[in-house]
Amino acid sequence: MSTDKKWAMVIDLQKCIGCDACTVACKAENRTPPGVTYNIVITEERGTFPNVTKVHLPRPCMQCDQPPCVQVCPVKATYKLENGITAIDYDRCIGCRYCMTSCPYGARYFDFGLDYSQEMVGYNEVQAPEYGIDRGKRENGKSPIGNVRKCTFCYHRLQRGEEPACVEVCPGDARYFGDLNDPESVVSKLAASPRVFVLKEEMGTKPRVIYLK
Amino acid sequence: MKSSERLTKAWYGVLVLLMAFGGWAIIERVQAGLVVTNLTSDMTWGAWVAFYIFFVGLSVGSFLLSTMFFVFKMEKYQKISRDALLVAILSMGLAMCFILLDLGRMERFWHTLRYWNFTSMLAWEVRFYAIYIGLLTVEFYFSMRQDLIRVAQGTGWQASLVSFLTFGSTDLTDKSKQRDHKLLKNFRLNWNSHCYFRSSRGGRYAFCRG
Ligand code: SF4
Ligand code: SF4
Repeated sequence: MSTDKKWAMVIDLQKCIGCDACTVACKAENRTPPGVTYNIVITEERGTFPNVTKVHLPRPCMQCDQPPCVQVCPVKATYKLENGITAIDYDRCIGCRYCMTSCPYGARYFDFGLDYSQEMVGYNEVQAPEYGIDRGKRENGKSPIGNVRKCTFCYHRLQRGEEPACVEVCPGDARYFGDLNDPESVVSKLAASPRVFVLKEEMGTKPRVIYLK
Repeated sequence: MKSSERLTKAWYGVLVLLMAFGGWAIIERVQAGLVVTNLTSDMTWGAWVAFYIFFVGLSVGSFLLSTMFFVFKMEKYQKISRDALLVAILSMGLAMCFILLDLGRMERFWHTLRYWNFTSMLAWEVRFYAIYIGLLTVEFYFSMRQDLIRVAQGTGWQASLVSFLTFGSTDLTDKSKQRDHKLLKNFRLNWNSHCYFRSSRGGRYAFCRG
């Protein structure tokens, strides 16, 4: 994959219907264990009766350009890739969970080693090739168990030239994915919209997930 | 048996039971992983992190207490100065045990020294702890050296073990004693920051006047 890409995601809150299809697609794609949910949809009611409205806010990892999680990791297991993605090296991470404490978006999850083997046949037989690394079976004592995990922007799908699973599945077409380095890309154009905002801008994290209000 | 003796024995019994319980809990944790702690991704750090900080604080407090005698020659602290050093070392050991138990992947604890992220407070902490523990150990050795030499001049396996630690030195003169004390003192003054030195000196004057 060429490294001159700078991946970004735009989420249009006017189009999001709060169906949580992205959450489910993410779980299926990344085969995340119980307690690890790279993507969630936060629903909030606004206004007072009778003028009320619901806002649905999908929250993946923001892939911040100034990520506090990278700053605090004592062993550099969390680091920035050239393509803008914040990655975790599961073979280096010691599981100290400092990064979870530092992430302002609660985007990080600890893999306690739980699984869905009761609910699903063969859950432990195969893992998602996160960051393009095939780790074989999910086994006790093997990474990523005991490590911190988070949304990878479906790095392994990007390598195959596919969109992240949440983008592909979104029935409201609320998610856009693309290259911010390319001024002609849809995300670049949307990022210039007056509706643009990012979460917790005051923290200076410079998220690569951009919202349209 | 006197009743106070019985009480002591009962107390020790309770302690042994508690230790057995703790040992079982550690085995559980090592085998099953952090899932047994009831920590979650929302509440990431628990009591172990608090204990670890507590023992680091205890260690530094003890270290400062031993300074009263080793550096400032306040004789009334002589009796406890060495005990304080030992407590400082043991506290650091305990603190490290707690933080080790808290790691998701304990077997990779050495990564903290192998890899260094310059902007990570935790990475700096680990390195300073290592230096600090080294410093404590060396000081403890010099604070005991005179006694070790004395034991080494006896007989039996203790003597031969200890003579290994003293590198065969038999020098018990006042001069060697003074040298050890001077070493102890200089060690601290050189190693500790200027700031620490100044504040403890200020403290000393206040103390003496009072
Ligand atoms: S959202 Fe959190 S985990 Fe993701 S890059 Fe930002 S600080 Fe790191
Ligand atoms: S849990 Fe892993 S990734 Fe997070 S700060 Fe610790 S070593 Fe780094």
